[in-house]
Order: sequence, then C-alpha cells, then structure tokens
Amino acid sequence: MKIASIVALIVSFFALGLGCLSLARNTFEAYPVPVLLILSVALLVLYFSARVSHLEAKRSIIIFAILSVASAIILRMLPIYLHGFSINGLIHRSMISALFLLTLSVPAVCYSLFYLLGATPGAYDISRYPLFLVPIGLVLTAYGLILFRIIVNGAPLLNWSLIAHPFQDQSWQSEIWQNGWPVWVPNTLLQIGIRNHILGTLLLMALSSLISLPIGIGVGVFVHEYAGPKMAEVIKFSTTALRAISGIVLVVILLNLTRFASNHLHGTIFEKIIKGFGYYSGGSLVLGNSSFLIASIFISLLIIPIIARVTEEGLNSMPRDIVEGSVAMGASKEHTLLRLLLPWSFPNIITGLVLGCAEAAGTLTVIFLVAGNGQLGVNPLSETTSLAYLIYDCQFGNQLGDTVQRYMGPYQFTAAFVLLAITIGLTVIALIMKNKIAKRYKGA
Amino acid sequence: MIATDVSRTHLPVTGVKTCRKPGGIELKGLDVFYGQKQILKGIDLVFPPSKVTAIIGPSGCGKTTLLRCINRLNELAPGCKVKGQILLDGEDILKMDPMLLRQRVGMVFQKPNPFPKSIKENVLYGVKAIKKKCDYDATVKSCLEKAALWDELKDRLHDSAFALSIGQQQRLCIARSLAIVPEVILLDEPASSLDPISIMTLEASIMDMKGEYTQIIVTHNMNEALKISDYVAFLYAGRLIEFGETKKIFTHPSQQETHDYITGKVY
Amino acid sequence: MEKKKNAPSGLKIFSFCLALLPILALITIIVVLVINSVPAIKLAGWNLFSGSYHPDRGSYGLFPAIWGTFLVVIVTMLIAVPVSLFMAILANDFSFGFVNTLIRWILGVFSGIPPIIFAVMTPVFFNIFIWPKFAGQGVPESALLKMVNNYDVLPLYGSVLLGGILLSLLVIPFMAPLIDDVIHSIPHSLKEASLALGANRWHTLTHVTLPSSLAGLANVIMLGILTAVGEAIIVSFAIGFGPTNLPSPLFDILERIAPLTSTIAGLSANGLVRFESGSPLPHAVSSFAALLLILSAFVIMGIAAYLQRKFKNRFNP
Repeated sequence: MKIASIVALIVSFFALGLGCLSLARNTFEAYPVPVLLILSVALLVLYFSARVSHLEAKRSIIIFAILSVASAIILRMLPIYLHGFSINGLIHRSMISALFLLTLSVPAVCYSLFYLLGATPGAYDISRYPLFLVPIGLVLTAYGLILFRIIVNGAPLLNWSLIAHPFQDQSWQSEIWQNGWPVWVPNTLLQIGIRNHILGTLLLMALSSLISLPIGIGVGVFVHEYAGPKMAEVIKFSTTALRAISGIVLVVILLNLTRFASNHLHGTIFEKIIKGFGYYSGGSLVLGNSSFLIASIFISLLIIPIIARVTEEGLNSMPRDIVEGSVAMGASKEHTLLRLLLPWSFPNIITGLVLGCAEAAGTLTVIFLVAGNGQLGVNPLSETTSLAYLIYDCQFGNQLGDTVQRYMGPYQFTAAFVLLAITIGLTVIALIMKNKIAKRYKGA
Repeated sequence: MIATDVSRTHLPVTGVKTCRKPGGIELKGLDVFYGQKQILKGIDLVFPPSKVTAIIGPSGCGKTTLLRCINRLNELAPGCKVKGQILLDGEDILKMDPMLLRQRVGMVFQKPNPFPKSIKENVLYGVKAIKKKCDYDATVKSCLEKAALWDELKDRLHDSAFALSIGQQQRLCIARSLAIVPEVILLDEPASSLDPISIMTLEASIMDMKGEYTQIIVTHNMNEALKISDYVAFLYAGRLIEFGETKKIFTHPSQQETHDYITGKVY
Repeated sequence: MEKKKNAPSGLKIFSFCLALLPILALITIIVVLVINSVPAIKLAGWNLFSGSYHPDRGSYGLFPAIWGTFLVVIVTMLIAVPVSLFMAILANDFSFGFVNTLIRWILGVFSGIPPIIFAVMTPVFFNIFIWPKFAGQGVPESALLKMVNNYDVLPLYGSVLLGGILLSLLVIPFMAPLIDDVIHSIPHSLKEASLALGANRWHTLTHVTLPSSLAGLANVIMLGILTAVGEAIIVSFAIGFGPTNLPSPLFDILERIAPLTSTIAGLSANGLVRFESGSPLPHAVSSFAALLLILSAFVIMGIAAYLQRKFKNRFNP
C-alpha cells in the first residue's frame, strides 16, 4: 500500500510540475498525453491496493482515472491551435493540456497523500493542503513576477541625476543681437528627470491629508458622539458611497470644473488657480488642466472615508468604564472628547492617515486626464503631476499628444519602482502601527 | 485496536445499541506546558471504567487543562506541549489520530454550544461527520431520551437549536455527544450556566449514564461532587494531591490541603 | 430646579458642519452629472443602450461597455474569490507554524500597492501568458489568416482575460484579510464542539465554519465586486478605450470589450478616442455613463445589505 501511494504521489507531483511548465511555456508538447495515461494507471493501482488493504477506498478515484484517460484522448485529437466559433483568439493546445494536468494532478496528489499517511481522518485534513497551496502558489508567483520585473527593469536606471532634475521639454524664442540686428533664435530645454514627479506625489499626499484629516475626524466624531441613529445612517452611507463610486466619476466632475473655468472664468485669477500653471510653449504660458489644490480636494474625497472609519473605530475602542468615569466626575462631553477620547484614538487616526497617504500617492484615477508633467515647478498652484501620471504618460503619451513617451519611455519602470517603494514603505509603517495598537489592547 | 465487543445493553423500545464497553483512562507522568509555563506537574492517575470521577480543586489549578488533555483539545492552543502517557484501554492516545480518539471520547462544554442548525441536525452532526451508518431517526430518539429531552422536543425536531432554553441546550449537547457512541464522556463544569431545576435534570442524566460510560466531570460545586461521583481527584497548583472514593475523601481526607479545600479555607 | 437649556456646544456645531461636507459633495456630484447628461438623453435617447459604440460615427451605445464591465468582473471574481478564501482558510483553520503570520504580512504589504503598478505589468503579462497561449505567438501572418477565416477575429493586443487577471491580483490582497477577519470571528466554541465530536478539520470547515460565515463572506465579495467595477486604470491599460460592438459569442473573453470606466475615460479626454468634433455628445455621454456607474455601485451596496440581512437571520441566534 505504501509503495503504491508513494508511486502515485511521485507521478502526480510530476504531472503537477508538468502542468505548471505547460502553463509557462509552449514547448512541452510530447509529454502531457503519456503523463496523463500514467496518472490514470497510478490512480487505478492506488484504488485497488486500497481495496486490498481494507482501507477506505474512495470511488471518486476511479472517476478521476477515467477523466484522465478521456483528457489524454481529447488532447491527442486536438490541433495545435484551436480556433473557431468566432472566438477572437487562437488557443494553443498547451493551455488545454495545462488545464487538464492541473485539475487532475491536484486531486491525485491529495489522494496519494491521504493513503500515504494511513487513511485516517487526520490524514484527510493534511491531504487537503495541496488543494489550497496550488492556487495560492500560482498567485504568489504572479506577485513575485511583478516585483521582480519592476525592480529589475527600474532599479538599475535609478541614479541621482534622475531624481534631482525635473523633466523639461520647453521651447521658446529669444532675441539675440547678431551683426547689429535682432534675431529670433529658437531655444529648447530638454532635461530628463523625475524630480518634479516625486515632489508632486509628495505634495498630493500632503495636501490631501491636510484637507481630509479635519473633515474625516469631524465626521467620525459627529457620528460617534452627536448623531441620532438616522443621521448617523445617512452620514455613514454617504461617506462609504464616496469611496464606492470610483475615482473615474470624480475625474468627470474635475473636467467639468476645468471646462467651466476655461469657458466662463477665462483670464481671471480663478482660472489660474483652478487650472494651474503648466509650461511655456513658444514663449507663452500654457495653463495646465488642474492645479494641485483642486486635485487634492478631489483626492481627499476618496480619503475622508478611511479617516472617518478609523476615527470611529478608535473612539469606539475606548473601554466603556473609563468614559463613564470621566462623565461621572462631571466633565462635559466636549471635555471628555478632547482630552480623553481623541488622544486615545490618535494611533488609529495616524494609521488611517498613513494609509490614506499611500492611497493618495498611488491614485491615478482622479488625475490621469488632467495632470501634466510639472515643468514649472511644484507648488499648490502649479499643474498637477505625480509619479503615477508619469507611468501613464509613458504608455499613452502618443495619444495625448506630448513628447514624454519619446524621452522618458525607458524610465517608466524606474518611476514605478520609486512609486512602489513609497507606497510599500507607507503601508509597512501603517501595518507596524496597527500591530502596536493591537498590543496596546492586549495589555489593557 | 478498537474495542470490538459491544455491550449487550439494548434499549427495549428502539433496539438501538447505544454503548460499547466503557474504557478506563490512565495518566502516567503527565506534564503539560503552555509555552514556558508548566500547568500540570507529574500527574499519575487512573480513572476507573464505568464510574463517575469528579475532579475538584481551586480555580486555576489545571482541572480544565487535564480534562482537555484526554481528548487532545488542548492541542488547539498554540504553544502547548504534552509529555508523558495517557492510556485509553491500554492504548497511548498521544500516538493515535486525534479524530479517531475523539470518536471514542466525547465532551460537554461549560457553556452550551449547539450548532446553528436544527435540533435533529445537531444530534446527528457527529454521526454524519464520522460517516457512521445507522438508523438516523432511531439514533435521534434514543439519544434525546437519554438526555431527557425526547418528550419535550419530539414535535420540534426541525426547530433551530437556538430556540431552546440554556438548560435544554446543554442537554442537547449531551445528546449530541452520545450519538457517536463514545466510551468516555468528559464534562467541563456542565452545570455552571444552568438554573437549579436544569441542574437537577442534568445530574439525573449523569446518574443514568453510570455503568454505560466512563464519566469524568470537573466541578466547583462540592455538593454536586458528593452527590453524583463515585471517585474524587483533588488537584492543587497542577499537582494531584489526593484520589480516592468520594465518601472517604469527604469524610476522612488524608492530606491537609484536601481538608482545607473541602472545609472552605482555600478556594 | 429649572431645566438648564443646553446650547449646542461649539464642537458639536463644528463637527456637524464638517460631517455635512461628504453629503454635500455626494449631492453635488450627482446633480452636476445629471445636468451634464441631459444633452445625451435629449439627442441620443434610447440609442444610449444600443449595442454599437462608435463615437467617430456618432453612435454612443453603452451596452458593450456595461457588458464589458460584467465580463471583467466575472473573470476577476472567478479567480479572486477562491484564492482569497483559500488564503484565509490557510491562515486560520489549516495553519501550521509560521504560515499564519507570513500570509498576513504578505497580504498586508500587497494591499497597499496602487493599481498603476499592476497596470504597468500589462505588456509583461501579455508577453508571458496571453500571447503564447491565446494570441498565436510565432505564427506567421499568412498562416494566421489561413487558420482564421474572418479577418475581424484576429487576436489582438488586449483582452478581457488579461484585464481580469490583473484586476484579480489587485482585489485579492483587499479581500483576503477581510475574509480572514470574518472566519476569525466565528466563535471558537463552535469549532471546538465540532472537533470534540470526532469531525476532522475539513468537515468542521465545510459544515460549521463556512455556513456560519456566509453573511460576512457575501459582504466581502460585494465589496470586491464594487472595487472591480470601479477600477479604471488597469482596464484602460489592458483593454483600451473602445470603440467596440458587442462580441459575437457573447462570452468571448479574448476580445477587447472596454468596460464602463475606460469608456468614460475615453470619452472625457481628447485624443484617447476619436469622435466627431464639435458635438456636445461625448462629454454628455460620459456624464451619463458616470451616472450609470454610480447607480450600479448603489445597486451592489443594496444587494450586499440584503444578503447580509438574509444570511444573518438564517444562521445566527
């Protein structure tokens, strides 16, 4: 019995490995069919030796053996590329064989483990692990691939000059004296760098936190302390709705605002504030599509729900007896709130703030149609820019009509790398703070 | 090695075999650690088969830990290490598959914990889980009769178990653990959440089950121990201080700590 | 003793004003969108729901966009729900040793990754997975044309499958910790009772833990669907901005059917999608589509609340 289950285990592991390889490459054409046949033989051997040893022989093993033979037959009959039924693609045969191999080898591994460990209920539990581990392994491989690619493509190109210089692609005419006559000479300034993009990301984070912090805390405090049940429902619903409706809706509104500013407020100072300073082209200032100020207001709409939720959690988490103790001493609600509850919830609020910053740093949905490349520096009134926008521009720059793709194309992954570093750093800080908060409750 | 001779007790009404030969539990040199802290120190104890043994002692002395060792539920807690031997009918349960062990050793918990299913499904849960082939309706009837619930619930078998009172829920938990026909039943302070009438019914059930099952009950209530148990083990600070027949322990305890505990000087 | 009139404190008024802002923002958004979509309803009417979306020819049927969202969400959830469930089960009931904390840390780190990072991996995933398996890598053009009769169905660069895979990578670290919390919150006594009856961990999982956590699971899955519906960047990179017709086998996930979000993006920006110039329709239709998006988000939230109520009544005391 042991021998049969060990052989079955080896065969099914081999089938599993072959399935994963077929998923990755197209070249293992000759192997799936024989492996499937051997697998079905191994399963049948397993079943019969289980019968012989008077262990619990599951009927479904026979079903899997039959399926395995059937899939071997199907695979032999398929052409290399499947097409037809107007499906917009050619499915390579190795995809089908990978599918068959994976779905048949995982149960086979489970069954052989079960019999190897003695067919007890405890063995049944252990034999379920491959069922969990295989999909998780595939997904973790995908994540590893992402990290690997970004680091390998992006990190080597990162050098100090890239970070220290902003991206510039400006042209203007200047007047110089030549032989006694004024001549207009074209000048260009071309510089490759991501400084302004990094600064823009940081500015977005700072501005949106600044705006969303008081509002979020206000919402949390109001819902926790003062609101009646109906009012609390309405406020909670609208705050979660702000997060549920995606950023793309916000960008439509933002575009409306920009268009409104162009059409109706043309030439005024308000237009400059709303649209932000862009870049010089041919000697004149071109306004961008949105300034940092306005973009941060929209981004903060996405962050307010996070901060409101963590504020409320923090306020709720204060042990009831301490609050009652304060009230029993005659302190007013506001006093309890300001002196006791809010300081207690500070760690929660700061954690939420860090998470919100990570969100704001990475958000592209709200700004990707209105941002620019920050050639005129980074301040609240200049054109919105961000690392995420740079990545987007490198991909779709041609369609947007600017030149970023030509010059900054190779640096797309570098920008992704820097952005990844910022967001992962912030997330890790938030995680550590969450752990510290949890420890605080354990001690208390 | 599964106990193959089944007791000849048949309930005349339903003709369902309800028990097998009750096994004896023996603890040899048992040490239990949670992390660095040692909870039980060198316990040597024999629980006589077919009898009710009560484990008494002050709070925190390790009674529940001892009980949970016997059906290996303490392994669910992280960092738990068990050294020594625990024998069920001569087999070391620490080397057995835990699920097979728990099919022979049932447990009733302090707070009743029925599943969020109907009464009938609650009773049959264990039977279906271990894939035992038997007459489901007859099993439900006999187990509920044993737990003194059949008359009250025979028309309400499909109601949710949460609709019952706490006392009924606790008796449902007993019925549930009887359905898998164990050899040993562990009871962890079963009466602590119950009102006096439910406690009386519970104690009557325990007395009824004497002879068919080995029962080990942890209790804080000395009157209860006096009433229902045949043997008593006194635990203090993780050590077994004294073990013997109930009457003898309560009238002439041989150790000073036992005497102090029984007379109420220590709790 | 006379009753002292309690004037509302300054803090209360202040926090009330702050708390009103999200409500005001929401109302403003909806009102602005409604006003802007009026031209679309007037000019295009019911054609807005037709199956052909070609802005350069003037037809703005949004049905392909809705269908695209539906397909993408289905593909995403088919991948994401089992994987998140398995991760949560592995971290709770079936944990061994350090796997518990390892999974939680990995999920924590990946939950903060912005969608643009996943989007930028589109060419990588396409080259590694889609092109070899689904788009005829290495097949010369002539052989391709011979194999495929209709020129319209040649394999293209982006597809719903690619978008679904990348979107599921985004959604998994979001859903898995939530499912972990749900399973963690099942009372330990239920699991102990089941184990004490001799059931193994798998039986406990399928008969006690999972049925009791259905309410929480439904909520988390709805949240995942909400995230997937609203995601614009990943689908923009992986699928593009349109224009499309409805795919001929309806469930063809190898087609480029732009979902609602990237359709809105395409209509709102100049240059991403070509449309007839001078017409006020593109912006109006994009506002209308945004309204559809908000509507679908509300519908999903409503379904989530309904499912929660239904499951809570069945399984909890």
